[in-house]
Amino acid sequence: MEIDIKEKHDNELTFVVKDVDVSFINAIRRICTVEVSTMAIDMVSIFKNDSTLFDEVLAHRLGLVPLETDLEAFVLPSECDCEDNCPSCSVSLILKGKGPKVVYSGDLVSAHEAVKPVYDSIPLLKLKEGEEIELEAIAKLGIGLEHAKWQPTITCAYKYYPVITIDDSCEVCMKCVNECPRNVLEYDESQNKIVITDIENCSACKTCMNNCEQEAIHVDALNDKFIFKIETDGSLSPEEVLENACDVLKDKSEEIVVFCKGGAKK
Amino acid sequence: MKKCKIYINGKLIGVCEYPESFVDEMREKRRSGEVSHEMNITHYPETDEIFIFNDPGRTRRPLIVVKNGESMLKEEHIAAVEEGEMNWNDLINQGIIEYLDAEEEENTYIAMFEDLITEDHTHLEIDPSTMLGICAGIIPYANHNSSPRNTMEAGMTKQALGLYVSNYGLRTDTRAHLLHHPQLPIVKTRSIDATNYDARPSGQNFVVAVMSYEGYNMEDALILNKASIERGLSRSSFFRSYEASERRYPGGQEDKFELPEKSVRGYRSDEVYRHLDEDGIINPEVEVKSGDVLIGKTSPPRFLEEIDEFGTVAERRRETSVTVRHGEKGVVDAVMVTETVEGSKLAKIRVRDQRQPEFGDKFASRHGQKGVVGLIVSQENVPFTAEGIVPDLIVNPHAIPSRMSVGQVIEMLAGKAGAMEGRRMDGTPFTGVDGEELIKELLKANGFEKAGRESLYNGITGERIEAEIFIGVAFYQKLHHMTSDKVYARSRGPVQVLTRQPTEGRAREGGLRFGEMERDCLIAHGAALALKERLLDESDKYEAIVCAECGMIGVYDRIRGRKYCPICGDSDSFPVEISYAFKLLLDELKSLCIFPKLVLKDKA
Amino acid sequence: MIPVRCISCGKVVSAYFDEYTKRVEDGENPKEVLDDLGLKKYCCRRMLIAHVEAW
Repeated sequence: MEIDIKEKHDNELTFVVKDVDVSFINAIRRICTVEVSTMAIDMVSIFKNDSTLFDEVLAHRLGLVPLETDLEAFVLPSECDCEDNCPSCSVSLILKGKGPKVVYSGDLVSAHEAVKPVYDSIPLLKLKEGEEIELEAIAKLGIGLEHAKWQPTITCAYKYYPVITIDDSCEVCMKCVNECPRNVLEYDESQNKIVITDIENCSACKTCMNNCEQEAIHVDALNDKFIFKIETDGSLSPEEVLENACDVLKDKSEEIVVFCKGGAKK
Repeated sequence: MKKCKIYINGKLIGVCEYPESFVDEMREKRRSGEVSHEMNITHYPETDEIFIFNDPGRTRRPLIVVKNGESMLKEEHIAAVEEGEMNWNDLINQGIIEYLDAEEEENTYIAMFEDLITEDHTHLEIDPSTMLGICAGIIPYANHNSSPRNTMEAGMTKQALGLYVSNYGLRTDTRAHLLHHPQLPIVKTRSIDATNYDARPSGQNFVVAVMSYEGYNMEDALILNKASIERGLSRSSFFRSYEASERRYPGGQEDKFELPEKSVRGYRSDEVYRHLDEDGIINPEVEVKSGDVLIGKTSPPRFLEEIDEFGTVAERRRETSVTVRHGEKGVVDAVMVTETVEGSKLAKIRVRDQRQPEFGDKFASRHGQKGVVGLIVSQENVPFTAEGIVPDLIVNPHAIPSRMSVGQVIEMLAGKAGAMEGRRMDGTPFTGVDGEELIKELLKANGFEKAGRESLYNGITGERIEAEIFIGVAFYQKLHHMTSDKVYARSRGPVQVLTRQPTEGRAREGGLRFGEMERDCLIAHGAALALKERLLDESDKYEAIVCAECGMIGVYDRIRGRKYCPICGDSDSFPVEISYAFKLLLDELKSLCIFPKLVLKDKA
Repeated sequence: MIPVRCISCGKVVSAYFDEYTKRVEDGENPKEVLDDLGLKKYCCRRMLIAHVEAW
């Protein structure tokens, strides 16, 4: 397996993977999206809410706010020994505000310095003169299978590495070059034929194939090379998400190995 | 020669010999101002009738007058209106524009655009989209849709949830819906601007993929993305208002709001009264479910003179509390206590329930493509594009060809182009600026295939789906037919007083009607006893005692434990199983002085 | 109030909302502002373009 980084900035990572099967890369994609745990607000105790937002709408908004997550410091509530919220599985965040103002996610005060909102500029609610808000939110670890607020990824997708072949029957009518929406093809004057300049940008829309009267151009794909794009919401970095996805996959495989060795869990 | 009858407002008032010139003259008089502009005249040569209407309440619309193949609205008039020298009423008074009602439109030949005018045309549309009303004006690219689809959408827009008024927090409407995150439609029409639809939008823009998925979107069902729902897609709140007042009865007695004591007649269990405050009214922010009491109220006994066993008048009050409707739940949103016009205390409670999209909720696009949620798929199983776009909604391709709602296809392309360009697109029927060609150019300029197709990958297996899938952005509305309001079951329950048959309707805990066609099905199967069970045993079975001699229904004296016939006295009487509705028929016949004699025979 | 995340993909579009409205009010072209803020997918872009203040 060969992995090359194509692009990396902020919370986005694009890389090219070679010598893997589509089922493996899909498994990684699925686990990255819904089985990597991240921190999100789960229970909200509202003491005072004078705004026009209903309690449940406010709680819904709080749940979707992404929180910076430290996976080493916390455990999943299902794995925690405590009865209810204890410091090893939950973090408390307090929100207090008095109008007239717009309350942002930056106003959430966390009890743990590692767990705080990723963005400060998320508007949560508006308060008019004299209106107050006072609530306590408990954040816990969870996975995307349970609720979308625990999905750490935003974009988590891949495509087959495209392959474009042009036969000799090409008459250089330039239709494919002009019709391609992504400017993947170009006319090379020195060789008087169509060349491929930006193969990785090709979206396999087959516009060039549909426009070629000679049927000289073919869009295909390699079945063991992929361009993987992952972007996270800031709670974890893309590398952390991929690492944890592999850990989850490893744990699942471990269970099968244990079973094969005769130690099946009852 | 046959004379033409003239009717004014439906009343025959005279005849005329030359109808054509009469009608033309009347129209000229109307245009010049001699006759009121509110008059409309129509001539039907087939039946030789002329109808004149000037009554209030007709829907009329303005059209430009065309004379001799030329529109009467000239450049100088338009310039004068722009300058401010002429206004609308001037145009009417000069006979350039006139109002026509539905009847007079029968005699017109209206041209859509100025360059299409011929000698035969009588009028010119001010703008072609004015032939549509308010609801049909919301449909983008309506001129690309089959007409019945436009009609259906015009009806469904009225059922869509949105922000119906801005003061919903102060109103106590019996039923009200509120969409949490309404959005402006990306593809809009000029009618939308003219009617201020943007101030009260009633739907959201969905990312829609047109493909089959596991067979769960057949027959117009829709597939939704579970993660989209969890992030707030089509979430709505439902409000229901309950009210009660302390009525005053003649005789001085009155109802009272209180926590009913155990001794009142009809006292429900302790559990349902647990939320009531001292004044008998529930407090806001309490979670309630069906059966819980919102306003505890007792009323005086119905008949004043109620003598119980000891011969004294019993003052047993009745329980008439207001409870949460069967099958509903929610949170008390607001409690208002005030006075009625007569001065008695009035309490109004508003209960709010949050509704997320679930199986059975009805959605519709703006092109008559309605459907019910058939499957909610988790995000990792939904097909995805290489960029990471995941559709919110998956629509079956079979819905498009037979319905011919091409407007939906164009709207999806335009929505996608508008989202990439960062602007709203104009989909006004007939005169919309953003036509197909422009949309295709914009899509190509932004790196997408001109026809809106993209490569999607199967979320479950990971492989690329062989065909390119059509994906776009369309405005979908959530209609107020939701499963939570309809799901219902009954095994046994209340019956009507008159017929002793089960009551009707979910609100009255009724039964579901086993109608005539269902009866036909059981007959066809030869399931005679199953039919009898449905219609007799499970409905209004009644054991009547019939006198053997006179054939009338007898009397069973429970206190003395004997049966007798009121006509014959002490005679042989036999029990017979009939439906109570039949016994009711016999009573009704008796009331007409008909003697319904039942002839009894031994069972063969 | 703008939904916290893009409904289709989950990108935190509300974090960019204040900046977007301010720059568009100042006269910038919405397309350029969206490109500049890094909102590339049309699912995230429609959240900002089509938003109307209800609460």
